Amino acid sequence: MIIEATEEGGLCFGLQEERDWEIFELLVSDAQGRGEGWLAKRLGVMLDDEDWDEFVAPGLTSQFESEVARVRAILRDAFEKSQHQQREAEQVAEPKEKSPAGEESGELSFEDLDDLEEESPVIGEVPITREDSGTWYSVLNQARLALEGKWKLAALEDEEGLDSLEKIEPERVSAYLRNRFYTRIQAMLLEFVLDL
Amino acid sequence: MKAVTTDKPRTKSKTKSREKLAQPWKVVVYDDPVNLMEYVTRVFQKVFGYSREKAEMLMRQVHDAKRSVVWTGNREKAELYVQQLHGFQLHAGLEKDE
Repeated sequence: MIIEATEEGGLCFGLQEERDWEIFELLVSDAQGRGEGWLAKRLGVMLDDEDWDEFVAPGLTSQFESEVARVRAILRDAFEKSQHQQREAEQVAEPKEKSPAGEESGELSFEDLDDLEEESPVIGEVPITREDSGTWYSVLNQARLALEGKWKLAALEDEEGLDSLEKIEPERVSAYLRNRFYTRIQAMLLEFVLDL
Repeated sequence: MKAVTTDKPRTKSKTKSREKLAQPWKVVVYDDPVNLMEYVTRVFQKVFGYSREKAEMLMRQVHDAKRSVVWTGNREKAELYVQQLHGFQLHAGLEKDE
């Protein structure tokens, strides 16, 4: 996967393997967290106010859920677009014929050089526009809060240590790695895109 | 055409006493291992209109002391601030200023 800045001030993920889509599927799944309204409830724990649960939490839950829905829709559009482009590419693809002159001389043509540069072609693109950057940041945060709540990843990093990963549950290691990935994207959004 | 029905809006029967509302309240932000320091700083700037320096100082306090009083004033406004901070997924609460 490659990540590039766009001319419009956003970011764009260039996916190079089919399994790259899974990472984004997991982001949505992680962000959905631990049951309906889990994040609003968690944030409200520190408030001893019954009105909060009744009047504020539903609004927050709705906000968080609509952000996840927006990112899910962006990903669905990106996936469908990539599938469409792949089908089109397959239809027009014809076997390339090597230049007889090139074969004889052993020299590479310009086309061959292009092929070398594009060893891992981009099979799909996931855009984060400036307009959607706040939504993406929020969804990444929701995912990280859920992962932290479930797997206590900060403790893994600070106290338990990461020296002997084989002693740690594979699911927890996977959660830790996803958390690291989400954090990196958040840091990039903060540095290059997000206009709070 | 699809018919849309709505429930009758609920009204709050309970009112807070003037005295309770007038007491100073503190908006407290608690440390958490998820929110990034730069993000917390920017949220303080956005929500309270603080300068970069003040927002950064408060963020450091949250990080080092595990909590920081980021605003003090009347309860209604304090509640609004807490709500906004929760919207940004910061762990915030209200405390009475004794």
